[in-house]
Amino acid sequence: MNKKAKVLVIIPAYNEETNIASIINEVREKASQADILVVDDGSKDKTAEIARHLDVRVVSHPFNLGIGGAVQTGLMIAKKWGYDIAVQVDGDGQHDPAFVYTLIKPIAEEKADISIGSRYLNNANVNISLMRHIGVRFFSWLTTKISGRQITDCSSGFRALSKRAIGLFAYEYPVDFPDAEALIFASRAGLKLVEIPVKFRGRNGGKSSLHLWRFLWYPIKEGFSVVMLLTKRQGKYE
Amino acid sequence: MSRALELAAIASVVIAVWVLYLFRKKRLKEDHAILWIFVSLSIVILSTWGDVLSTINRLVGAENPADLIQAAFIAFLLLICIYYSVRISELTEQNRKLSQEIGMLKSQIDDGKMERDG
Repeated sequence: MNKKAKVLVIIPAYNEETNIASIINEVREKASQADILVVDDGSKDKTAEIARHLDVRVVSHPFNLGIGGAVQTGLMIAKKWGYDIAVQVDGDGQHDPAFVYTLIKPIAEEKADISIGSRYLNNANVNISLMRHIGVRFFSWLTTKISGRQITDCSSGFRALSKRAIGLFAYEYPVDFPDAEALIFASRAGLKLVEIPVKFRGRNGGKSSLHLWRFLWYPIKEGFSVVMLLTKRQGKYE
Repeated sequence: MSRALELAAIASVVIAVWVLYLFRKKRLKEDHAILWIFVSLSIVILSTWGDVLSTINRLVGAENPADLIQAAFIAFLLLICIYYSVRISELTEQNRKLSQEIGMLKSQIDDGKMERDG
């Protein structure tokens, strides 16, 4: 891949009016070569208005589709506009844009199709609840077993994708929990996964979209989806 | 196990297999597939595990175990109907919003064309 790869930073955001301006400015500062796309997932606050005011491209969903739907919209646009690499940086400020280029590196060097920012590698900081920690560790272990690649943080949304991965996920992407299922799906389609140690930060403000019922629903749905995925025929994606 | 319970168990297994087939063909979403598989498995367990059914039967005072399954199923179907009514209402509302958004976008495109054409 040549050095002038077109990079799109996708910022999915839902009711993030307190964080969106600072994350856009940080991406501009720390990943200045990348274009920015904010996918406003049906926010009821001023998220989209603030982003437009900062002169970045904004796509607004007329209603909330969930994180998977928002990310997929971004990937569809990345595919349509011919980007070589897409990086997801969440609008809540937990992903530090300083790691964007570190994530992109294995893809630019054509060593991987999906580069995942892991909180667990090299004792990077992990600041999540015990229940979530158990779920993430279990599904990461499962993803490792199935994909044959060591995955320590399958729930990390801080990911960079190659053109192949953009094409695959623009076509099919889990809507509710794009975690283990998405990675196993990509791995079975012949895409290479790699993890990079990153640090996650706490939310600067606003509310998390994770509620108790989602914590309870997560292992049931993720488990079912992974099992059903394994019953499907494996095939290369070109 | 009575003939009616045997039939209920067999029908539930058939429904579970059909649900899995629909899910694999992408005609059913995970949430719905999991719900129907859970219901099917519950009926299979209740139909084949006589002790559980007899205990529930005594607790609610039903005369025939098959009646209990039937009553439970009717109650469940009512709940499902209400759930789908809510979902249809939500989808109708989303459909309305989408139509309005598309209408406004079309009008913006037409305005742009008119400005360009002078």
